Amino acid sequence: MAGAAMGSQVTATAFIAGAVIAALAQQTLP
Amino acid sequence: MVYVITYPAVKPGQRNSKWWFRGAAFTVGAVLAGATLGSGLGAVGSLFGDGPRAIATLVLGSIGIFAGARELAGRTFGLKQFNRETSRRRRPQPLLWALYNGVALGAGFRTRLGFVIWYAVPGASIASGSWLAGAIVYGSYGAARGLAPWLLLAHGHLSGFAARDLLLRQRGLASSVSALALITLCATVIGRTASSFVS
Repeated sequence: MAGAAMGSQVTATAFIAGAVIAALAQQTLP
Repeated sequence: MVYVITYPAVKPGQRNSKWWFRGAAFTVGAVLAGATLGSGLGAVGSLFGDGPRAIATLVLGSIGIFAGARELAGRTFGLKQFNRETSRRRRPQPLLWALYNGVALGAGFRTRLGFVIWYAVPGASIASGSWLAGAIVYGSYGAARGLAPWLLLAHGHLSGFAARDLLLRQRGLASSVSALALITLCATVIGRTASSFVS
């Protein structure tokens, strides 16, 4: 993936995992 | 299936499409909304060039660690958000409403955010500096929101009780987990960005 902050599999995985956790956490909202 | 299937914004007599059809429209809307927004934000990020974007990533990542630590400590935030649910009046046609609700939830900011980690989704899309990476990150968010009701529905069928009711009591846990995830995410990105300056 292009871009300085997205330049490694580690950051790409962190970004995607963060997005999924953000979405799942919101399932606890009324 | 939360609002989409079990509690649609329509009167019973108007439910002329099958429930799974409305559920599919919801999921497709959520994924497309996330991927579209992410690709746009990634494209915007690419306009800034690697240097300025890396500096912005370091600054915003530091703010993210501070915000995550604050949330972890139980301090509540006055999040900049539309603190509301999708309106049940605006789309009387059930299939269109399900699609509209999917788009609203897949985008995220149209409804209640709840946790500070949400800001990392558009932030990461911009920081990626790539329309494809942005689409994957924000699209993952949209997909998780779009698929979550199916998982809840499947769980309800298998276990015989509503997981939704259990989830609503786990907001404190979700706050801690999402705050830790935000801190980890920001620390990882800061570390990688800083090392790219060195190398």
